[in-house]
Amino acid sequence: MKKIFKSFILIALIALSFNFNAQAQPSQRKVSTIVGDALAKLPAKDIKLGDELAGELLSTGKEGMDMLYNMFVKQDESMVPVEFALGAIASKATAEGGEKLQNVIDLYKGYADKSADETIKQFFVRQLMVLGCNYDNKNTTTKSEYDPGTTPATKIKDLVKAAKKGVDNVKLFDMLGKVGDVAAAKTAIAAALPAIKSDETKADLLWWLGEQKDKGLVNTFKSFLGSSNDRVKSEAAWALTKTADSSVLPVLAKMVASGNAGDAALAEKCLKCFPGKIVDAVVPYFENASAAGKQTILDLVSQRCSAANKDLVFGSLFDDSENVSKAAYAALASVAEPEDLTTLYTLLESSSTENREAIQNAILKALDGKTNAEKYEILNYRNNIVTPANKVCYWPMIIQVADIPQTLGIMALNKNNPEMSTKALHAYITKSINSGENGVQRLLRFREAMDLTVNDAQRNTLLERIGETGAFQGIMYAAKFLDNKATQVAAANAIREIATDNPSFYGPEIVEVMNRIKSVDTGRDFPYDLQRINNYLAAVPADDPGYVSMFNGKDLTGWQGMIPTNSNGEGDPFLRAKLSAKQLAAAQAKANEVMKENWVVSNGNIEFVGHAYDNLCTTKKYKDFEMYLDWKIYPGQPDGDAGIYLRSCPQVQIWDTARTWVGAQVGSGGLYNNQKTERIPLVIADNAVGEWNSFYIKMQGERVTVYLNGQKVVDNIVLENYWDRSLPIPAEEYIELQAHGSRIAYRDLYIHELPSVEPTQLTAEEKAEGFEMLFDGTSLHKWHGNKVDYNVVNGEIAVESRSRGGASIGDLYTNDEYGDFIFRFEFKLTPGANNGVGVRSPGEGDSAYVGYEVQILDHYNPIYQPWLAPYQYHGSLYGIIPAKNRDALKPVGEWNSEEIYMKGSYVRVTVNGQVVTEGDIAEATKNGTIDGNEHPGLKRDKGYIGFLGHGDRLWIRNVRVKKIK
Amino acid sequence: MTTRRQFLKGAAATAAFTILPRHVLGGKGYIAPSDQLTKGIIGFGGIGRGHHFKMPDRLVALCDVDQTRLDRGYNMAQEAGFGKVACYHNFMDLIHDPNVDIVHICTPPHWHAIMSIEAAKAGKDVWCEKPMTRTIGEGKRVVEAMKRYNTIFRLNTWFRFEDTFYGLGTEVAPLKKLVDSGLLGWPLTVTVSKHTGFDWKFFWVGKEHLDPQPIPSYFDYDLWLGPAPYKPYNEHRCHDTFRGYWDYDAGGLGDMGQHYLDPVQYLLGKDNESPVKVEVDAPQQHYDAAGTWREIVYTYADGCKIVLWGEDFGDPKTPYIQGPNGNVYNNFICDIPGWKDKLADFPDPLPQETDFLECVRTRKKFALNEINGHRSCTIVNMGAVALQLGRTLYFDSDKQEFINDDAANRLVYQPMRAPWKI
Repeated sequence: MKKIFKSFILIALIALSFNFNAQAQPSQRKVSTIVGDALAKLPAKDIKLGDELAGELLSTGKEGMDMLYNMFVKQDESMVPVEFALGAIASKATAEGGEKLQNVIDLYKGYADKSADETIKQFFVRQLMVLGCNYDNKNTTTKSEYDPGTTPATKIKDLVKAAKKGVDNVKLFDMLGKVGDVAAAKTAIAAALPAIKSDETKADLLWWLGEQKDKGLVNTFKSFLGSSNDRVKSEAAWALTKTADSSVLPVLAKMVASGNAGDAALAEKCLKCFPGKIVDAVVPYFENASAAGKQTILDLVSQRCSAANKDLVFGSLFDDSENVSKAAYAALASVAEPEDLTTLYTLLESSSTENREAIQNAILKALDGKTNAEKYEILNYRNNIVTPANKVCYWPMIIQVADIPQTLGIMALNKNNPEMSTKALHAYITKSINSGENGVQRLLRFREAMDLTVNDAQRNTLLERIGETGAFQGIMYAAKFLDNKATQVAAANAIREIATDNPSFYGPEIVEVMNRIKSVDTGRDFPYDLQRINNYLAAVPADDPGYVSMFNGKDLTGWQGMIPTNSNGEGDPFLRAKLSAKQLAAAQAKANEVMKENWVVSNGNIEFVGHAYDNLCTTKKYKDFEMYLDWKIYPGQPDGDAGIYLRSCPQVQIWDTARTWVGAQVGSGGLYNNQKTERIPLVIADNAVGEWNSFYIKMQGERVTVYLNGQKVVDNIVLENYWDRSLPIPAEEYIELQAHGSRIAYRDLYIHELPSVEPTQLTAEEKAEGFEMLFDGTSLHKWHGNKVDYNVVNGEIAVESRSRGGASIGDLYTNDEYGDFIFRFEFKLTPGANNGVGVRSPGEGDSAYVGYEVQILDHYNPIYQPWLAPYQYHGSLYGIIPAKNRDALKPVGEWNSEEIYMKGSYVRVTVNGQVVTEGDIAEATKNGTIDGNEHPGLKRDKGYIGFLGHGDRLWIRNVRVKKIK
Repeated sequence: MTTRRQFLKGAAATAAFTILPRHVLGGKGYIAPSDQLTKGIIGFGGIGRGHHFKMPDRLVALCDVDQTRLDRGYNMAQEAGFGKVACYHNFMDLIHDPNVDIVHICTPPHWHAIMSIEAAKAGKDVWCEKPMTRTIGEGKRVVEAMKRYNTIFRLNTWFRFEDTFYGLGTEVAPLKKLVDSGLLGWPLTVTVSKHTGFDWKFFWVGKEHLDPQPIPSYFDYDLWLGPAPYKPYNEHRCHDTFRGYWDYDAGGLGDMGQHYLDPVQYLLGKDNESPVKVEVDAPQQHYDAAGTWREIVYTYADGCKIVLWGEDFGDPKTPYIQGPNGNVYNNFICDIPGWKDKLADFPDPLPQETDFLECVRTRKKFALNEINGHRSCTIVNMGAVALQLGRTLYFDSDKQEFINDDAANRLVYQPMRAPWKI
């Protein structure tokens, strides 16, 4: 870790781990250090830290703010933290107030005055605004001119006069809006209402009065219910409703029963919004009500779920009036209770088709409170005991409460009833989508349903949905439906949707299919579809074959038996490599014979049917790749187990999660045989035994990523070399399907070979001198520590960036210790990046003190000026010997080479061929260290070499070392 | 002042016998008052393009400070068969066009207050896109002006009265009925997060450093900025990315805030009050570029809370509404046993005025107007102020000002760049 802003960070770390009093320290820091420390942490990750830093910055006064201002005026992108600092000071100053606030205002005014650049000026103008100083006094905040209080209030007399005389509603509402004394206006208007001639005006005034929600006006409103004008009547009814006065209920109830359809409808709407026992008010009118009235009352009973009146509902089911009967059926679902179930069953089985749905809803309502599983059981039981003809009454309900597999089961049971089968299919699709299942999982679901389809319409429905999955294997699956004229359009749509949405899905088979669907006329959008296909095809890389199938669906071409190398039947590639060509040929022939007994092609799948442990092995060796395959464990086996070997090493695990005695409850997909790196899957993503599962496996270098059924289960984890854990995994070997004694099927295997990194070699010279490669671009095998943020990408160690101001990240150390040595490496920086080479380090703690640190820093970055201490420049032996050459670093973004030579107390750092630091540690520290800190590491004569992370992004490559004597 | 507004009202009332053929009334290009209301759109960006064809009122004028957008708008209007459409560079010209009844404001939020008020002064009614105003102070001015000029104002989000409300999978009305019934108890906490079906769209973040760029010849940047502080031009400030800058909007909070929070305000019955406290948990905010946040918590005087979670912050199992006696989860799942039965005897919420053109004719207030719209926009703007200052703030719901915090109140009443003022 670099030590630029070390004091604060160190204090913070100590405070965290030892509960030191960190607050005592900042006051002892120089202003430049406080500013530097703060800048390294800005923008603050949360309010607490922001407030702390702002307080410290504010305390630096003019000196700190001038320093910030001088940096800010450079207007470089790296100055963004400075903007945060100046902003934080302003915000903090407004919270503190007093002299500090005034001080900041004065300073910022000065900065604004002398800033010619518009961006900078505007920055300070904005800060001054927050600070309470209207710097640019042309800008305006005025008192409102629109406050209606300043305009004269409407005289109520004038309002009433105008209303009586006739006034357009714009004017009327304008006057109403300006009424000062609302209470007086209410009284006056209510009194004047009968004398107002215009019904429009009357209605407007009734609306206004209604908005006042005044129970005292109930009688006034009632008097207009009889109006011949519909708007007046309606406003009066609503005004009554808004009063929520209980005396209104009987009035509205009477309207319901009146026999006037318009009145009944109006009263119904009002009653639905009326608080209180509306049902009790209307039910007494039921007996003698007209058909329309009865219908309304039933609607209200339904709306208020009045189970107390369910006899009314049941009794009206067979009413002579069709409308009343309909309303009663509709109300059933609101009033049904568990005790009504038997009645409802009988009703359902004898009812006409059109009323079935209402009764089914009522049954489901009566089952409310039970879980879907319980409802499924109850309804399924009923379904089993009724006559075959009556089953059709129950399926729709069962479909509603069934889970996803049960829904599929219903589809299977209704093969002879296409209508019900389709209903189940649609529910199955909806449930899968609504449950948030990802595209890969949905594709597996839809393929399962496809096997149960009874007509092309169903198949087309599924194909359409498959097109939405975006799942790789959907493309070649849908292609199987291109031959049937009735399904080819849906198939072509699905293929096109998946492929064009995922340009990374390409390969010879897919390209062929895409060319094929160019001739399938998809209808109205065909020209656009064609355009998209052509765009896709044009974007397929010419120099990369992409995904190729590993299995032709017919036989085991491309596969061979795995050659066992020990009595356990294991195939160790290192032992295999020792066989002579002749031995190998003989062993292979024997292995192929064994393969024929145990591995077959059946139903278009590769299946293991044997009992032995002989893996099925590709005939080709693979380096880096990504692959898709589906697998299924057959049910009814106690020990369901398999796996995918990568580069002939076990394995991406497949097992029956019920086998808790072997630890299978963690799920499939993990790198089971790992010991040092993670072996447990991130999530359990397995489908039930007997169902298909889908793997996406990517192997790059020594790292593996696995998705199981669309969920990431392994995230870029090193796959250990099972055969010799002291070595990294081979760079190239076979892929094997594991045989583990249980029946298992594989399908849809596609592999895409990826460009792989060629290991960097030592130069002949270095080889001769005895250098050792520590990082050749492929593996961090010779390193320990933080292998998460130090990640191998494209042959380089990419140091991950953490949010600015975050805590330091862990360090990466060599496995061996070095005392006297030459250490060489190449590195590339990002702006302001900070790291360091720990040498003679104990491998933990802060190497700069407990060992030594050779600084890595983009010291050109203006953020570090002007206070960077001499011993903080790139190449310095941190805190001990300053770099004397500050110009050797190349600009950010270019690769640098560096050599660190350490022998005894002599140290020399060479950057890009120029010596930047040279000296004798004993000499340099005889009067104490120049940073004035304790360096217990001075006593160490050997230790690990490491990269010390500070959360900044940089890249490292070609790392080698030589021990010297 | 006799306006088209008044004339139309009369025409509508007597429509049966007063409608004359257009050519009888005026010469070429004259737009006859009829029973059809007319509108002018200011700002032809994404929203302007998206909304205008859907409406039954007739487009007669367009305005944009970007000539390319204005041209595009004209062409689209022609393709849609609107016939003569006047094109303006300056919105004041559109507002004062006598053919325009309704001014439809589709500009970035820093213009909404000025344009609403100017339209009201000119006797026009206003359809304003969300968020209503960029500051609480501007919102207060709009409320005052709409009242003074008797303007029908619609703030355009609609979930309080129609449409499926995001993750709830239902319209708001049945939720309102449940809340009003008191079954859930009181006070309630409403959590608005990705987990409950509301994404805060954090792609609306600004860039912390923008290099000045030459202003395109077709673009009147000075007029685009209008009341906003003058900052050197960079295309990222304008058009499709303006939401990322505090000068014009408030990031994802500004964009989605009123969509998500106005229905909450309606559910809680807070149309006439504002929260009294706002707390934020967020990284420090840049003075110019709006950033992301983890949590914003609003508290009302009666203890009701609105909790906003950014990104994936918070417990995914949290209900949408939490009450002392029950919770409501996504897809309108309530954990009170038999709650549907228990709602018996509770009324439906009162109907709302949801036909804007009808409101223009009858002069009744639209369901979401300047008063409740200003209150729900205040929720958004309180959050924006607390984020910018990085501290907990207390709010006086009546005065609509922060308590004992001058700096916060300066963000309530932000100055406008001369000569603009309201």
